[in-house]
Amino acid sequence: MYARQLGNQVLSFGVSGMLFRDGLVMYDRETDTLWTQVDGKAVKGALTGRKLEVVPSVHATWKQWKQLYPDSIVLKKRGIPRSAYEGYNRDPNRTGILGRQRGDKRLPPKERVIGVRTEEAATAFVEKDVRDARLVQAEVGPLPVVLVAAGDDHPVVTFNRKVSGRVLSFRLPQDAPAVMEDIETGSRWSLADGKAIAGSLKGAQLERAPAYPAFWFGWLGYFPNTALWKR
Amino acid sequence: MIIKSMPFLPVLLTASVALAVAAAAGQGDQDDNALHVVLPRDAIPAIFEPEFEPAAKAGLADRELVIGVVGEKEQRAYSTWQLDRHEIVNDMFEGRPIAVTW
Repeated sequence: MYARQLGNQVLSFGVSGMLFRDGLVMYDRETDTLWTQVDGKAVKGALTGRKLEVVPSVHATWKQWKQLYPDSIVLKKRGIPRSAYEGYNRDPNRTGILGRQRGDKRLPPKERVIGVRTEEAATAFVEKDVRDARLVQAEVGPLPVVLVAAGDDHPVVTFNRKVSGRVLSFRLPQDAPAVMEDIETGSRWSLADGKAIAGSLKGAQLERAPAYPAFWFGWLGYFPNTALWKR
Repeated sequence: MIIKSMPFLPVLLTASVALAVAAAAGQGDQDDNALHVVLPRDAIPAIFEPEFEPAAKAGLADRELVIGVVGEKEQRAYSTWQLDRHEIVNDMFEGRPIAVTW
């Protein structure tokens, strides 16, 4: 998800019909520039070299989402209510339309990862490892992050662990759902919105970190030097 | 989504476009940085005027993946099954223009 704005110029994006390393290429209707969706970069046209600002997003199943956000609104359905990609998503041998195989053998190509990136660095976390661990703390370049799945009914959410210049460490308390606790102050933080709801840091806000679900082969196409988090 | 982008297209395509796709795949071996044309522009229609309904009324399947945005006052979800057919939603969220991309 991106802010579709550069300074005062608001852009609107359409689907170019092109692919770059199996990723969507968008065009903007204002300048006709082509943009790669995975990294938000302008690759051809008047705005070449510019970059879109990431808007951190939450990726969840509908069941998980409506539990956390029962008062939310949802894009209205048009057309057939099923996935066009389910067969593709399940097939371990289909890797994009260009079908390029990369030399990296660290994971099977269709392994589901959560990719976190900054200007300087990219790290992939195997989703099932994060779910097994429930809570993972790591550094992606200079960015200290925490990835949390409070339970099977919860999405993996990713936050920046730095608050007001201080890096916190977290654990999951046994007695409360959808909440984590920082070890430094014992304050409790809502996993729904990253706000401290109890303790000395009450009212403080964790920022979401830019995290994306991807297949390993796809992440690798854009971030070939990615680190891979290991338990 | 990252990189599953449009793998289903061959199903939808005519034979001639499928050939173009095969040709593009061949070129990919030579030039990893090439832009491959696989469809005409706007063949997949992005959404420019999104409409919404309350979560309680939405008929999504429990296992349906959504992309969500959580703001100060509001939360919005976009079904990836819907996004499979549109790839991009141009929206305004809490006064900020955003593009939901898949």
